[in-house]
Amino acid sequence: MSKISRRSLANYGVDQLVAGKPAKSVAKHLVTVLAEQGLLSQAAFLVDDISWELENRQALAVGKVTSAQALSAKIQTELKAQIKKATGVKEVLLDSDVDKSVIGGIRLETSRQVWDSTVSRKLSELREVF
Amino acid sequence: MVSNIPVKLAAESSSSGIGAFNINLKSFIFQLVTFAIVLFVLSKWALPKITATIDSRRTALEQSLEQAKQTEEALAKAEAKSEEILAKARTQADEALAEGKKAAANFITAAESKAAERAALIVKEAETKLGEEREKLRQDLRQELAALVADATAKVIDEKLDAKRDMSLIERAIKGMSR
Repeated sequence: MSKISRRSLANYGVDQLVAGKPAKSVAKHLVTVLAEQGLLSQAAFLVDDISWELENRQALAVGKVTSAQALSAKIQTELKAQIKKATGVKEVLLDSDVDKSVIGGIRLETSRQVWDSTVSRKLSELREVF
Repeated sequence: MVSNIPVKLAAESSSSGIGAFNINLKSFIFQLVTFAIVLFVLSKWALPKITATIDSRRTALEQSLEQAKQTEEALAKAEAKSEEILAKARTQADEALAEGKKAAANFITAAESKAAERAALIVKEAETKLGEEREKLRQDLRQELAALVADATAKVIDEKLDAKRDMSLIERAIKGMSR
């Protein structure tokens, strides 16, 4: 049996999801293929590839937002709207994380882009300037 | 009569001719004959040998003299030659000495020049190294200063940045995303 590349699997998975197939079923199918190929250790990378491809096709963006304090629902809604506007995707999934080391501001990371307006990054830039 | 003859002869001879010299003629003749015999004997046997010996000696002497002359000439020539060789050797030695001095002077000059170049290079390298170290120190100092400033700024901001201000920062960041 010939090996299937991770990229091909990701494209296949995205095709299925965009076509409206249930995510659970697609995931099950992909895991089966990974197992058959002996590539189960690559599962996490495959998820990243699928996220990248979904964002690339402007279907879905999975964003990880980091801030020094928890974000309110209002802010999260605003953030999603801005992500949609910036990336052109139809849907946005947000994963919030509170990290005091960022001091202030937020850091948003999707599969394809990163917005970092945290105080800690600005201070790092200041260090680099010196 | 016979006994008077010598007397007479003696009387005659003593008065005129050879007798005037008061010479006994008989004895004279006898001596003359003896002399002739001796002369004959000498000239016949002794004189040729003596002459030959003398000639031989003279020849040997002449040869010796000739050899001595030749030897003297050879000696003179040898002395002249040795003088010439000595003069030549002296000249060569002087030339060699001059060349040696010149070579030594050149060597010293070259060595001094090389040493000066080496010293200049060492000084230049030291200066470069010193400059690099100075620059590195300056850079380290600047980085440490930046780190201190950043840490101090972080502390100040952390103290001053309350939830309200942070939220305001977040809202501004969100609005700035689409730009």
